[in-house]
Parts: sequence; C-alpha cells; structure tokens
Amino acid sequence: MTNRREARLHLPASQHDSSRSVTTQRLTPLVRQLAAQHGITLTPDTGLLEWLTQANVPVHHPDSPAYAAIAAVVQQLYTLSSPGGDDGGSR
Amino acid sequence: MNIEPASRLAPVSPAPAPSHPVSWIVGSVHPAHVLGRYPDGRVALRVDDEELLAEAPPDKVLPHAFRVRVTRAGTKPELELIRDESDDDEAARTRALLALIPRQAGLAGLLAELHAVHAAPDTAIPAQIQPVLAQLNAAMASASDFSDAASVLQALHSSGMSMEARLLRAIQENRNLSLSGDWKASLLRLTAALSHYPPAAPVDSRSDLQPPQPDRELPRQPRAPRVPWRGNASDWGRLHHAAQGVIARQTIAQLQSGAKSPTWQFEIPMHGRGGLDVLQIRFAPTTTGAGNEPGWLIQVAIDFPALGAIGAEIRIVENRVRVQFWAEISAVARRIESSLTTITDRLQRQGLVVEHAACRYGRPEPSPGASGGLVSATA
Repeated sequence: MTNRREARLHLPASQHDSSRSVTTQRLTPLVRQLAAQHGITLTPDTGLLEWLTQANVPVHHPDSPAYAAIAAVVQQLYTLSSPGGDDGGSR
Repeated sequence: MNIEPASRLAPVSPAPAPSHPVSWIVGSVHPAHVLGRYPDGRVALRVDDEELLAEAPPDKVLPHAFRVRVTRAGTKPELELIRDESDDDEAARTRALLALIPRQAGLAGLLAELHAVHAAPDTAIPAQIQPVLAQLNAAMASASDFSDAASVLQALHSSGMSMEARLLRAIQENRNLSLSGDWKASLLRLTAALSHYPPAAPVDSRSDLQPPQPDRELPRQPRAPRVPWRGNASDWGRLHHAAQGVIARQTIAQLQSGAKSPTWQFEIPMHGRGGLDVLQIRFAPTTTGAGNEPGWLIQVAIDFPALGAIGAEIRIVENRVRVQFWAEISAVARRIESSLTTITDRLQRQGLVVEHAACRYGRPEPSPGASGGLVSATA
C-alpha cells in the first residue's frame, strides 16, 4: 500500500463506561419507578434522563450568601410593586 | 461517522514525509483522525502530521477525530485511543437541546391559561383535572417564599430544576420523598391529566419566546394577554400544549446547568396582584478582582404590570455583594434609587457586606461575565 509507519491501535476496555453513567444507568429504572409512584412519567429518553438526574441547584448550602442576597433583592422588588411600596411583598 | 472507502485513500506512492514527525515517547498524547479503512481491516490514521497504518479491532467503529496516547515506542508503536467522555457527554447534551428547542414555550403563556381557568366563574373542570390544578397552584411561589436564604434554596429546589436529582437521591439514600410542591412534577401530572385533550397551539404568538440563552440578557416575560376560557376541549388542548412547552423549556434550563460553562436559569411562577408573574433568576460562576476570586453573578428580573421590567445584577464573592438594580421605566428607576438605603439594610440584615448598591434606568447588556455595565435606555 504505502510506506507509512505501522502501528497498533488499542481501544480502552472501559471506553463507554464513565463512573457517572454506570451509576445512573443502574438506577435509572428505579428513578422511573419512583416517579411513577408519584404519578409522574419521565422522559423515555434514557440518555436525557441520566443528564437530568445530574441537574441541581447551584449551591446546596442553605446559608449561602448568594441566596441571602436574592432574598433581599426579591423582597425589595415586591415591596416596590406594592401600592405605597410598604407591604414587604407578603400577601 | 464517515469512514472513507479504501479506494479514496492516498495512492500507493509513499506518503510525504511529515513536516512535524510524531515524537513516539511513551505517555505522549497526540491528536489523530481517521483517513480511511483498508479491506484488510487496517486503518489509515494521521497522527500529528504523520500518516500511519494501524491495526485496530475490526468490529469497532472509530470516531473520526480523537486523541491517542503512546503506550509503546519502537518501529511499530502501540497507541491507545483516548475517549473523551466529557466531549461525548457534551455532544449528547447538545443533541437533546436541539430536540427540545422547537417544543419549548414561555411560562407566561401557560400562566395566562391557568389564570383564565381559575378566574372563569362557571367553568366546569373535569374531576380528574381539579386536583392537579390545585397542586399546580400550590406549587407556585409568592414573595414570602423568598424571605431568607433557606427559603430561597427551598424555592429553587421546588422550581423543578432538581426534580430528577431528588428522585435519584431518594433512591440512593433509601428515604421517602415528597414532590407535592415541585413545579415540574405538577406540570407532568397536569399533562397526564390532560392526555385526552390533544395539545393544540394557540392561534396567536403568545408562546413565542426564544429558548433560554445563557449569553443573552434575560428576556422580557410580562404577563401574557388575558385569554378567553370556555372550558371546551379546545381550551384544554391549548393548556396541554402550553404545559408541554414549559416542561421542554424547563428541561433545556436543566441541561444548561450541566454544560461545561454552566448557567442555572430559573423561571419561577409567582402569585401576584391580579395575576401570575414570571420571576427569572440566573446564576453564572464568575471571578472578580485581581486575585480572580470565585463568586457568582446572579441576575434577577421580573415584569410587573405596574412597573414594567425591573431587576438586579448581583455580584457576590464570599459575603461581599455589589448590586446594580435596573428598571426600564425612568420613574421606577428613580423610586428604586430612593430606596437604596432600604435595600442596603436588607442585605446587611442577611449578613452581607454591601460594597456597592446603585440603580440605572435601562436594561443590562447581554454579557453575564462582563464587568456589569448597563446600557442606558436614554442613549
């Protein structure tokens, strides 16, 4: 054929198995089962469902300054929206 | 993936000498792509600038482009294909996003439908739909759900962003789970209850809204115009369609939170005066200052009927906060400006150090990672 250098190419044995997908693949049927118990039908796309099980809030700490700042800002916006701007946002 | 036929491979003549020969050092990593596969199973590869013929497992389809690691040097080097799981994940995520985008719709259209259902006094609501509508109503938030950091976290959890993660965690931890206040769970129950009513797109464009775009400013999402509600099959079909669109949009936001450069975009239905509003909150990781301190850029926006679009950009590093309010109506901007002492007090009561608080007339420019400049509507 040619005088190209010859080589041998190996594929890693675990090429399709990241630790994340192994865990979620194993539990995905149980996630569907639990959802069904709550009256919910999840997406039939298993790959998409595995992605969605990874989606979460950005910070898990309930005392996060980010959430404290959001609380203050949202309260202020609702105060402004109230007649006279003095109801503090509660209804 | 396309593998070129052997007949289209380079001619039998010797391959040109590489301009940058590969250094076959064990452990070195090189970019590679497939030139073609010969009938005897060998694969023609280009590794760096050098072409070579490689024996490869015959039953495996190779990616067109990949990286290899040298595992043995010598006259016939051995290479190991490096499969980049994150790239594969990213490609799968992108495919899912592309499938969802044509189906997505804004929350305001659904909220207008729901408000019409609740406002119509003589609407006969089928028995199987009544409880899911009640659940949906209970899953909407109000300002009191944003009273402190812990309640904000709870509200974001209940927004639907983490519904599947909560299911997974309940299984992993073998504990009970309540999804009664989860917005996405409530929407899924609604679509199940409406399954007898074929989804029907509205005749107007009230659901037209670009999908969440992390690098663009938060879109305006005012209340949609009031919709007539007669409680017939067509109306329920329209509600079904609107709910499906919002679920798709929610799913897009969930996928965006898992991107390599993630953003978290929450669109939360809020009980408001005389109607339902969309509260938008977007998180993006950012760095600040000469020390590149990690922090968050948080954008908040809501469109009140009486105030127009208003919001804030919050930059936060540890407990230090800079907040820039904005309002698209000048009189509203002035009101906010006159209340900055109050907001500073609110932030300080939450344990934050306020480095800056201001308000501009106009809307923020579409660059979440930028330095926070605003475009004045008067310019």
